This record gives sequence, C-alpha cells and structure tokens, in this order.
Amino acid sequence: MMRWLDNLFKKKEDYPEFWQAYAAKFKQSDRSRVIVLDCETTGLTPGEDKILSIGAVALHDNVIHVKDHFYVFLNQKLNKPESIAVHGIVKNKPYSLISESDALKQLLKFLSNSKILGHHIQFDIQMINIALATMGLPKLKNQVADTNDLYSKFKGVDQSMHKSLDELCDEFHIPKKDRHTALGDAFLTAQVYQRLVISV
Amino acid sequence: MENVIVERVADFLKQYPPFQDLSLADLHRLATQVRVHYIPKRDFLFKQGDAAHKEFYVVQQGAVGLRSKDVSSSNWIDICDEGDILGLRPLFADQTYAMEAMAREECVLYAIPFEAFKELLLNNKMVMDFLLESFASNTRNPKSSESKGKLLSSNYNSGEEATSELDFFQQAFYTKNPICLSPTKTIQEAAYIMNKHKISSLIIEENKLPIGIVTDKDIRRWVANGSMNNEEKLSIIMSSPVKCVPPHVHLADVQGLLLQHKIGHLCVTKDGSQNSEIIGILSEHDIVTVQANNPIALLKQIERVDQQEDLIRIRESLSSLLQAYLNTGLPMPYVMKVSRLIMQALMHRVIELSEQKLGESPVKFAWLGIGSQGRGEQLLLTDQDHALVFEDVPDEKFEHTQAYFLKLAEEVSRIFNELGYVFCPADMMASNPEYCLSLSQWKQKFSNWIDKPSSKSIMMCNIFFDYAKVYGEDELSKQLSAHIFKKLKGNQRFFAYLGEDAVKNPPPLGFFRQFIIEEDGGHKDEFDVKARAIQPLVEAARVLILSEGIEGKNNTIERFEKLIELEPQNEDIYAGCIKSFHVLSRFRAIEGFQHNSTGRYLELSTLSKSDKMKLKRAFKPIKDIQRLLKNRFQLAYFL
Repeated sequence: MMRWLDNLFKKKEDYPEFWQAYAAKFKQSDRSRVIVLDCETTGLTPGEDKILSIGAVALHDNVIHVKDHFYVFLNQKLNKPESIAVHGIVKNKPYSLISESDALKQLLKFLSNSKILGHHIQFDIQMINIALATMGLPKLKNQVADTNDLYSKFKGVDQSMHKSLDELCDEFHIPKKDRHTALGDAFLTAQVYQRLVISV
Repeated sequence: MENVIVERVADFLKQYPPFQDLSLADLHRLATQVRVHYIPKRDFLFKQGDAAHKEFYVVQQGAVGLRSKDVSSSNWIDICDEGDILGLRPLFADQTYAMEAMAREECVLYAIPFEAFKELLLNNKMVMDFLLESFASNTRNPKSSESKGKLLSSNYNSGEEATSELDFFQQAFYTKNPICLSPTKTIQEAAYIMNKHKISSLIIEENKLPIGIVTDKDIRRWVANGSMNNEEKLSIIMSSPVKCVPPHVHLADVQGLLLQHKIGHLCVTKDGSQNSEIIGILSEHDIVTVQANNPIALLKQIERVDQQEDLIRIRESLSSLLQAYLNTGLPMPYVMKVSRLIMQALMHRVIELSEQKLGESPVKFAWLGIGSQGRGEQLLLTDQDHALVFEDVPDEKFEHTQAYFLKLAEEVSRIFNELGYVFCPADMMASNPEYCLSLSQWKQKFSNWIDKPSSKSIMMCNIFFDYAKVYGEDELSKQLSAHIFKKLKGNQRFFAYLGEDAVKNPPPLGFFRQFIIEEDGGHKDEFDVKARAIQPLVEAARVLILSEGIEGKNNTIERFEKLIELEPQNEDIYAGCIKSFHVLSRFRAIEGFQHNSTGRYLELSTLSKSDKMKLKRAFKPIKDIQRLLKNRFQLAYFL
C-alpha cells in the first residue's frame, strides 16, 4: 500500500526510460491496431497469484496479423500445483524464462498505444497492473475492451452475459485448439472478436 | 519460442498444394506472415475491377464463390473451399481483379502477402507451376478448350454456356514428317517416290523450308504437254510458293483455304509461314477422314448400315471419339450429348433391323431404355437395361403376342451384346417375360411398386422410373407416364420412401475429410465413384423432379436445370449438383477408358493431389442436396 502511495506522488520524470517511451505514445491515438491479450497465472486471486505467461496477438483493421504477436514465459518463485494441471506450464521446462520486470518492459513496448481486448480482460489487466506496481510503475494507460461486453452488445442485451471462451468458440464455430496456452487463447479470442465486430 | 498460432497455421497449410511441397522451415516462415481474415456470409472479398490486394488468400473455413460479369451474371465460375487458393491475379497480371469474390458461407481466410511469397517462388519451381496452373484455371474462358492432359477441370458453367451444336470445332489432323525432295531432283525420281509411298504430293524443300509442292496433277500436266525429258528438274514443274498453315488449325479454316485457292494440299509449318520449318502436310483426304469420324457423319452412317460388323465399327468409333473429346477437354455437357445422340441412334437402328428380320410386329409396341440408358448418361460400355411395352390384346392372343416380342428382344439384346453391351446380370431386359408386358400389365406393375413401397420396390422404381422410349410408339410410353404421374400426385408416403432411399448414401467424406473407400471385396481401398457420388445425385434429381410432377425430364442434368427454373431460391444448390455431376462423370469416363472398365472404382493412390481435391470438392453439393431432401420430405421422421 505504501508503495502504491509512493507511486501516486512520484513525478513523471522519475519513471524509467521504457515507461516514458510507452507513455509518450499516447500523445497520438491509433485506432487501427487492437491487441488481444491473455495471461496464464498461478491462480485467480490478484495480489496473491502470479503471471506465468503472457500471450498477445494484434489485429490491424480487424485482420489478425500472425507476425505481430507477443509471447513470454515468466520466471516466478511461487508455483501452485493446481494451476499447473490446467495450464500445463511446469517449472523448469524447456521454455526460456525471463524475469517479470523484463517481461513487462517488453510488453509495454509491444502494446504501445493500442486498445487491449480480452475475454474477462479486467482480471488480466489487474494482474499486470499489480506487477507494474511492484516495479514502482503506474497502471496501464491503454483503452480496454472485453469480449463479454461486446458479445452482450452483439446480442442486444443490456447486462453482461457471462459466457466462457469455450461457449463463444462453440457458438461461432471456431475450432478449439491450444486452449489454456496464453497465445492460443489470445488467438481464439481474436477470432471471436472478428465475428463480433465484423458484421454484414 | 514455440508459437502455437504459427504451428496451427502451418499445420493447416501443409495439407494442401502447393504448401505441402515446402520445407518445414519455409512453411514456418510463411505461416508467420499469414493474416487471418474473417468474412461474413455474402460479403465481398474483392469486386471485379477493384485494385489488387497485396496478398492472396487460402480458404481455411467456408467457401468463396468467384464470378465474372463478362461471362454470366448469375453463375459461379468457381467455388473455392477449404485449402483452395484465390486472388492470385496480381501476381501474374494487371493491377485489378477480373472477377468478384463473395463469401458463400462465413469464411476464415489465410492471407499471404505477395512480398513474403516472392522469395519462396524463386526457389520452388513446383510452387510456381502450381500457382500458374491455379491462376490459369481461375481465369479461363469457360468456352475455351481445357488444358490437355489434366484429368479434369470444372470451370465451365453448368451447361448453358456450352454450345449445343454438334460441329463444336474440329482440329484438322495433318500428316507429320512428310516426304520432301530438293528442287534439283528429277521429275522421274519424284514420280518413283510418290508411286512407292502411294502419296499424291511431295513438298519441295530447301534448308527445311518449303519452296514449292509437286502433286499428281503437276506431273499429269507435264506428261500431257508432251515435252517429256526424264532428266528435267522438279523446279520446272513445282507449284510455288506453297500455301502454308500453322499446326493448330481449325478444319473450317483448312476447307476455306483449299476452296479459295483451288488446291488440294497445304504445307504445315511451325509458325504457318513459308519461312519456317516444315512439320507436316494436310490434304483433302485428311479432311475427309476427320469428317468421317465426326458425330454427324456417324449418325448418317448409322441410318445406312445393316451389317453387324458395321454397327460394331460405329460403336468403336464412338468410343474413340468420346475418348478424344475427353482428352482435349471438351465441355462435359457437349461430350454427354454426343454420346447420348449416337447411342440412341445406334440402338434404334439395331431394333429396326431386328424387327425387319423377324417380320412386322403383331401390335404396336415401344422399346424403353431404363436406368442410365433411359437417362442418356452413358459414356462407357455398360450392361444392358431395357424393357418393352406393347398394346393391350385380348387374352387369347396374349401368349402369341408376347412370344413375338420376347423373340425380338432376344435378337436385339444379342446384337447389343455383340456391340459390347453385355447382358444385364440381374436380367432386367425386355427378353425377360417380367419386363416384356402389355400396357395394362405395366400400369399394374408400377401401381404395385408405388402402393406398396418396400426396399425392393423402391429399387425397381429407381431403375424403371428413368425410362425413355428408344424405338416404337410414343403413345404407349406417354400413356404409361400419365398413369405413373397420376399415381404419384400428392403421394407423400411414397416420396418419403424415395427420398429416404436417396439419402442412404451420405457424402463420401469421413472424418478429417478422408475419402470413404471400400473396405473389402475385389475393390478394397478403391473409391466407388458410382455408388458413393454419382448415384446420390441421380437419385436426388429423380425424387425432386417426380415430386414436382414434371414429365419428360429423364436426364439428371436436365432435371436439375428444370429445378433451377422452378425453384430459383435453390439455384446455388442445384447448380452445384450439375457441376459435380459433370466432374464425377468425367472422372468415371476417363478411368473407364483408361482401364477398359466401367470406371466405377477409382484407385485413389493413382490420382494427383489436385485431382483428389477436385473430387472432394464435387462432394459438397451432395451434402447440400441431401440436406434439402431431408427438409423437404420430412425425412427426420423416417431416419
């Protein structure tokens, strides 16, 4: 809590260079690029659980560009066995792991000023913001949208309909492959997004 | 780092040509560059005249239809589905699209930037060749002849584009490597060579170029002039210059030239001028030969012949004619029409000759072709299927009358057998007393089949409903049809049975789009194109046209065409069926001619990848039409 208060009163110029470069991007807006993002974590409790991997892929004018993607695995001390069962990420596996701070540094560069989209995205944003706070940095500045809200809008319903990613994929005939890998889920979510925003 | 998206894209691409020829490293590099598009149903990917995109597309899910305003306003030139490539035009040609591409279903497309692809093209000749071929087939004028040697290409329209005239076009066949002499040889030498080789002309050459021609006529004139000196040189009597044509010349052009210049020979050179190498000679005789084997000539011959040997010869000419047509890739509607007309004429003549031999029939009768003969869909020699109906006679005369027609049928089917149409193993022939009946008996038989539907009677209906009069009284077959249609009208129960039967063979693709092949018996691991693909289309067309109460449409293509007229809302489905039927028939015919078989079983391992893809694509309309049948006849209650 103290650190968060510290952050609040920190002056802009005190932030490291990579953050300043990231923040500077927001002087302009870029509406054509949207980042679909998904984190795999050790659990569902922000503040207690940790990010294990971040996967993201970009859409440019609603077209998914495979090349414009982001995928990192994080080196975390804490590992809860139950989430390993879901995500299949095991400590000391052949992936190359990087530190949380390096991962976030790279992520900010990748995100730039693009809008972020995800399925139940607030959880992922919260996880990232907590990690940023640990580094003494403010919250993400990007606009955020949730496929769940877009889906409700698509269906013409006022309140949020809590559908799982699996349910949305089934409804839109998207073959479910590579579920529960950060990049795999991001790719599926990006395909759901296309169907929600591209209409006849 | 392992990237699941790239993996997924690469996994998909590597199933299809030309990507399957790429190395794993190239494939991954390419997959990284892919962009994933989503196109909702009925949205355009590009329109005719649109500026070229910087990428081309592979269909990952769904189907994209291509059509051109220049060719036809409503018909699809091609339909691309899973694994098909489209939008290659910017790679080869001008900067705008020549066709429009519309999503016929919601689609996911993998876009590959040309930029990323160029390097691969330079290093992979196979990939380039494949793309060139795909490009060519997507822009081909549907009327032009298709590339030779390619098993099939299904890009012509559903039939109305094909000319219905019998003189479609004919290429003139010339004699290759003609005998040539130098102008310094003597006239006697020339006469000696012409006599020895029994030829009527010699080309006079200098350095392989034609400088003149000497014909029988020139020598005759020289003899008549009386100034004979055997040592005189050919240069004195030769006609010069000689008229030349290029190797690919149409018959009509050749005839025009010969008439115009009042000559009997043309020299064929590489580029059609006198300044290029001699490659052949074309004479009036060559033209007569071509004409003797054209469909009209065959039809005329059939009317005149009365010997069995001549009938056999004509039947063989038909086979070689059809084979040549298939090889040059003439449109299937035309090939099938030629086959139908000639075969009908041939059978008509056989029955006519048999009747003459036996003496006039005691009463009027009609000879009916049934099954595929009735539908006029045979290209290959198959077994005989026919039936005979004669006028009602008083009971006491019946036995005598039937005996005459049985004898007639025996004689006819004996000759058919000689022609190569073997006896029907199930004995569905007019020589079987079961199928050589009076009009009332036939009516009774059909009533039984219709009133008491069972799997046996449905099978009989499937065979006998497609009858067509081959010979005899129109009135008899018309009365029989009238009876049948009266029985069928509003008969939901019967159509449900017939519809159920028509969907009993689902589209022949299993899980993961694998072919369903025969699991045992003599054709293990082969694909039964007749039962699994052609038959479902034939049966669907039959039940639909009968339920509409349309008489006189026997042919599967004609039936679907009529259905399009009646139900424009289903045009896409029916047009797809027509195209599939042509494609499948062509596969079968080529297989049959190659192996001298019924063409029914395709050996999948001998087919090229792209042929397999074409074959698979032809299955999709089967799925569509069966879905339509299930809805229309409420088959859900039965199945």
